[in-house]
This record gives sequence, C-alpha cells and structure tokens, in this order.
Amino acid sequence: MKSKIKILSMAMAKDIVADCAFLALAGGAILLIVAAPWLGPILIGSPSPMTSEIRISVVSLFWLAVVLGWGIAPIARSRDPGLRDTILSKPVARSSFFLASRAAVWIAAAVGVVAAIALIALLGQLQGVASVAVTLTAGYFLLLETALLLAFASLFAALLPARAAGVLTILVYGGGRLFAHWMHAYPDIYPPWVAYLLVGLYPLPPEAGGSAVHLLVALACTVTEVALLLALGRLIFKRRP
Amino acid sequence: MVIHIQNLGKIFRVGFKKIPALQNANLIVSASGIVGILGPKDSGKTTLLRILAGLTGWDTGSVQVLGSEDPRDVRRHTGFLPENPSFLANFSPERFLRFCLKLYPGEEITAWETSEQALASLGLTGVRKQRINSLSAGERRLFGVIQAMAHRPDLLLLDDPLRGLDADHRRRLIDLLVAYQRQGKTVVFTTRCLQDIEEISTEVVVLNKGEVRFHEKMNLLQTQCAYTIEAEAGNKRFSFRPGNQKKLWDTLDEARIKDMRIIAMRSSISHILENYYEKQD
Repeated sequence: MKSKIKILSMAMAKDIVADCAFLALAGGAILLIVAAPWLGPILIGSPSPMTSEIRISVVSLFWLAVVLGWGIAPIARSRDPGLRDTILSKPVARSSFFLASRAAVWIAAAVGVVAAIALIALLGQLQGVASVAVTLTAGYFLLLETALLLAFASLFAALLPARAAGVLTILVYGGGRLFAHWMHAYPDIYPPWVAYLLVGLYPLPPEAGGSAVHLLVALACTVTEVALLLALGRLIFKRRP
Repeated sequence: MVIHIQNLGKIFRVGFKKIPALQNANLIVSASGIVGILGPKDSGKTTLLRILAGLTGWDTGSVQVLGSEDPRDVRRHTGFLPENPSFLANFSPERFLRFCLKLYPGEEITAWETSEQALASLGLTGVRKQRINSLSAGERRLFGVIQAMAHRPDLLLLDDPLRGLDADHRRRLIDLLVAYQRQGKTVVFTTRCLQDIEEISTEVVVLNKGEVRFHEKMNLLQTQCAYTIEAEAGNKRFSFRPGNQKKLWDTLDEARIKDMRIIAMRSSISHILENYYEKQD
C-alpha cells in the first residue's frame, strides 16, 4: 500500500511541477533580468533597481506565491470527480489517494522552495551580496511562508474551483504582505504581537533587529495560524457532500 | 456470473432532501457480451456503473460483480471510464498509461502490449507523446477507454463512451470493443442514444427513473416484430411497421394506388426500446 501512495504522490507531484515550471521559469528569468547589474543596462536600459538582499527575498516570495498559487490546482484536482474516479477505479484505497494528493502538493512545494533558494543565491551573487547567512535566512523564511501559503491554498481549494482558489490565495497572500509593509512602516500603532499574529514572520528582517525571542514568538504564531487554517479547511472539506 | 444485482437501491441525500437514484433494480448478466444500458438523463445509469465499479456504495439490495461483493477485489478485475474522464493533464498518454499500470503490479509487460495495440487501433499512436491537455475531447475520451482496458479487465465499464466522437473514432472504438468482447470479456456501457445500442450491443438494458424496465438479448429482440417495411407505390415511397398496416392501406386507398412493391425490411429494434425509454411518467 505504501508503494502505491509513493507512485501516486510522485506522479501527481510531477504533474504539479510541470504545471508550474513555465511560470517559474518566466518569473525567474524576469527577476534575473531585473536584478543582474550587467543584464539591466542591456535589457531594460538602466542598472538594477534592486540593491539589498531583503528586496531580493521579498520579490522571491512573491514569485513563490505565484508559483504555488498555480500549484493549488492539484488540491482541487484531487476533488475533480473525473480524476478521482479514474484513479479510484484502479486498486487504490480512497485513503491512499487522499494522502498521496496532499503529499504531492508538499513534494512540489519542496521543489519550489529549493528552486527559490537557488534563485535567491543566484540573485545575491549577481548583486554581489551573496553569503551563506543570507541564503539560509531566505530559505528559512521561504519554508515558513510556504507552509502558510499552502494552508491558505488548502483552505480555499476545499471551497472553490481551482482557478478561483489560486487567485484568492494570491490576493490574500499579497494583501497580507502589503499589510505587513504598512505595519512595518508604522510599528508604534500596534503592539508587536498583533503584527506577529497577523502576518507571521514578516516583522523580522535583520534590520528590524529581531531577537531570538521575537523569532520564537513569530514561529509559534505562524505554526498556530497554519494549524488553525488546516483544521478549518479540513472541517469545511469534510462537511461537503 | 458476471453481474448479479438484486433489489438494488441507492438514495442520494442533498441537504434534507432524499433523491432516489436506483430503486429495486434487478439485473443478471451471466455470460460475456456487450451490454448497453439505455436511459434518459438522471435515470441512474452512471450511479449503476459506479456501483458496479466499486466506486460508491448502495443502500439496499445486493451486488455481485465477477462473483465478488468486495469492492477492492472488484476493482482489480474491472476497468472504468468515467462520464467526464480526467487525467494528470501534463502527462503524455504513454506516460499516464505506464503510471496506471504500476498500480497493477505483475501485469505491466503484457498490459503495456495491450495498451500499445489499443493506441494503434484507435489511431492515437501519433499523439502518444503529446500532453493529454493538448488532445481533442474525442481523443481524450478514446484515451479514457484505453486506460480502462489497459490491464485487460474481465469487465469493462464505460460511461457513455461514444458521446462526442466523430465517425472515424466511433467506428474504431466500436471495432475495438467488439474485438475485446470476442476475447471472452464483458463490456457494459451506458448511452442515451438508441443507435449505439443497435450498432454494438449483444444485450440491452433500459433504465428509467432508477428502475430496470427492460432487459433482453439483442438476438432475441431481433426475432420479434421489430422491423420497418419500406415500400414503393407508383412514384411514392412509404415506410410502415407491421402493426400499422391499416394506416398504410388507408393511405394507399386515398391515393388510389393499386400496385405496391416492398423494397426493404429494416430492422428497427428502436421501435420496441422507444416504448420503454419514453415511458417516463
């Protein structure tokens, strides 16, 4: 049975990655063009507008959001009666199919995160700000953001058609990032825990002077948010006929 | 016994409403053949097929498929084409078939040969490496049949396989299914089209409002008075059924025609089936 979950999840993950590959390549290429100091003048007539590793991370996060927004389709696809019946008419248990479709999304997300970290490292190299610490920090942020993003994606995919769920995920996620920017600009208005609760790890860029305690609080908030969203998604999903 | 259904009942619950999909349905298919299930929309065809494929349960009665009541066992020996088949869209047909066959351990090599033959006979060899997304709707439906029969199941369950196919694809699929049945297999398919039944079935089942209204072997049906006589009188052509001669004679009397020549007797099973098909209320 375990091998069937593996076969199913790998096949579905490959399908997701193939779905996202074009978008990821296009997004990556645009970022490279914008970020590379020697490519900018040739292709867009001016030097790269990006100067710091934080900007690179933020843009990369948006890139990941777009990619994973499309990656939402497989969650919805596992609810597609045509595919579900096609696969479940083979000797595959319903629970195996459910587990495999979720595992596929996480496998694809892992591929996305690795690709994003590689892109950040490459962008850093092009900008001349590459370091192991920057790459590791970016990777850490990406992993947590991915978890949050997938939780949103799972929730919306349980309720809406794939495209609508993808668009809504990007809107909510993008809105969250904008809100985070706004809160970051006016930190005195709200107590810090509101910012952590609402936008997870965002108020922790290195220049904000985040301490280890802040990091732990933010991590706990993010994990709680993810768990709550997944639980809510599951509840709603189970209530569907 | 291929299929043995007794007093089958299935109710869908939508909110507080109970919608009966099947009620007291009885059906026995004892030997290999091509069984066409005919019925209007919402008559329970898809539900019946999904129950036979082990994809959904039932509320009352009993169902035995290939001698087994266990859905897991049934799924090993049946192949199923859903009403709206869907696949991993970025895979090619060839890759998707290989993926499907991995779910049937030990049968991959012979099953792959069958799949290749099926791809060739349905004219899909040229698109075997294209993405499934890029195939036409008809090609996708044909591919759905191939993935259902790839592991050479004893019972092939096809939900409206001929819908939307062009003439060439239709002919190729009919030939493939007839050849498959000749290997001692059973094919059960649903349709809303009488012509499909006449063209391919060896047995016909008429389902309406969740009940099996009619079940007969086609060769027995053909021996009944189910034909139309086409006749020529003067420069006029008529067609009539044996039960309607009086109307014809009246017409001929009115036209003052004395000589009549029978030019064809067309088998018309649809005339019998129409009675069951149309009795909806």
